[in-house]
Amino acid sequence: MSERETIVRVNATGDLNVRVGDRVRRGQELSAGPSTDSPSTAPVSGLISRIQFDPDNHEFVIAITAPA
Amino acid sequence: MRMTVRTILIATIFLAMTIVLAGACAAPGADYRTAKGNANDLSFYQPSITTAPYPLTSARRVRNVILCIGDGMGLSQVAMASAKATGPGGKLHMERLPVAGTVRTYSASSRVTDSAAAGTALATGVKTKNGMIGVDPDERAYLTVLEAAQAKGMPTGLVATSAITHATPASFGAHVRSRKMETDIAEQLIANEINVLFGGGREFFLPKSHPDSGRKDDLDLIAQAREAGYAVVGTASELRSIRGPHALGLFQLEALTTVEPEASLAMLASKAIQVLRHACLESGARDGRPGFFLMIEGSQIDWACHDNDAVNAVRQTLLFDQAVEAAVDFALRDGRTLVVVTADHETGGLTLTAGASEDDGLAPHWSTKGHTGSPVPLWAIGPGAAHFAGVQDNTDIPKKIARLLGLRPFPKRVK
Repeated sequence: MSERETIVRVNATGDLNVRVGDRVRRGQELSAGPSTDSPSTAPVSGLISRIQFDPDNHEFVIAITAPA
Repeated sequence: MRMTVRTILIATIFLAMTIVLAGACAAPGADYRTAKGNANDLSFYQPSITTAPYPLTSARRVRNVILCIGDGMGLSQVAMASAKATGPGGKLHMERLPVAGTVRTYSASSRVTDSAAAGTALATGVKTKNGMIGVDPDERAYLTVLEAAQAKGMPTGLVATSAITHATPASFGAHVRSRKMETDIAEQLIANEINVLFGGGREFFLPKSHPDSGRKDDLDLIAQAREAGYAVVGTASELRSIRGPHALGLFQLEALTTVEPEASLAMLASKAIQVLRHACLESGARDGRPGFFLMIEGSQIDWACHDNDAVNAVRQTLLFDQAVEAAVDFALRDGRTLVVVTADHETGGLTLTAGASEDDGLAPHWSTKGHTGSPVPLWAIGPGAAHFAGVQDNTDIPKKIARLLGLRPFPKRVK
């Protein structure tokens, strides 16, 4: 079965509620803390497959993998 | 024998390829994400031979101000770097400054600030919302301490290991509603005619016709800077050749790599001081008056802490401490220079518990991947340093600097 990766960017000032390997549901809060102008909820249900810090944009780049 | 010759030949080719690749990794245009070198190698850092505090000065009037900001640098980050580089009884250069204090960092929108709101507080004396640069929560622009100094005729400079358009340096020379507006920030930094701009972020200064551009318009800010009289440089050797009172050093397209052959933060700081000193003398005034204002940021301590990477956090803190040493060396020679060392916020929620003795007896523990609301340390030396002792708000720092430099009124709205 093929998979699709969805990338979510969340502001890095606050803490993350998820780790690589976690399963998330659509609408679940991915980060906690200061209010930001970035979306911080999972747009799809799936598995957190990757989290990277992007210094240029001061954001966490979160990959959610789900069946296509 | 033939085997030995072949082995030597292969080893020589391998060594040559390694040198070429290592050079390519950190050359202009290199990617800071991959050009990290050996983070465990701290041989670049020379600890102090003494732990004695640097001397207090008897001078009363402040001529020059150097504000050093370790992004994300809490007291634990300093303690960890100190233990690693100087041993249990040693001190970093910043720890030898004779006046110490702490700084509260909350922003107008959160108990936990980001670098934009914290930078704005440190630059303008005004609290703002996270993400905003040089404006209050209602998007009204406030004069930065750099701009106030400039208005008094003082040469000014910004040095960072991030893009020079990144939140902290931007907060001192630009006014925008969002830290993401880096092309606008680049325009404002050039338009403000700040004497020294050293860091990364060349992509935001190149027109869209350039393949490396990060802009969506035809503005060529590098050409504009040249026309305005800036010496424009991009390598360590070019840095050394700067002679005039205005210099734009953009050493990478994005952030600096912080590895050789790129110039270190300390080298950038030393050159910035030299250029600003030259600009002061060129103004025709005696004794280097009217003095200069310089902000130096160790930008990537924060980034290492977001990654919960203790090894790189130590390395970035020591690179920042080298720059502090360069600033303090100048201040001690000059006698009329105030140096303030602090942070914009703490990152990572770092605590140090008992660890293995072969690892300095300290074990790092991170409580978050984000920032925290913990107060940050402050150290100061030079005339006026005593004003920075004790607990203070981050907005107090530029107010005190402005008062010591006779910049009034401050804070002040930009009309």
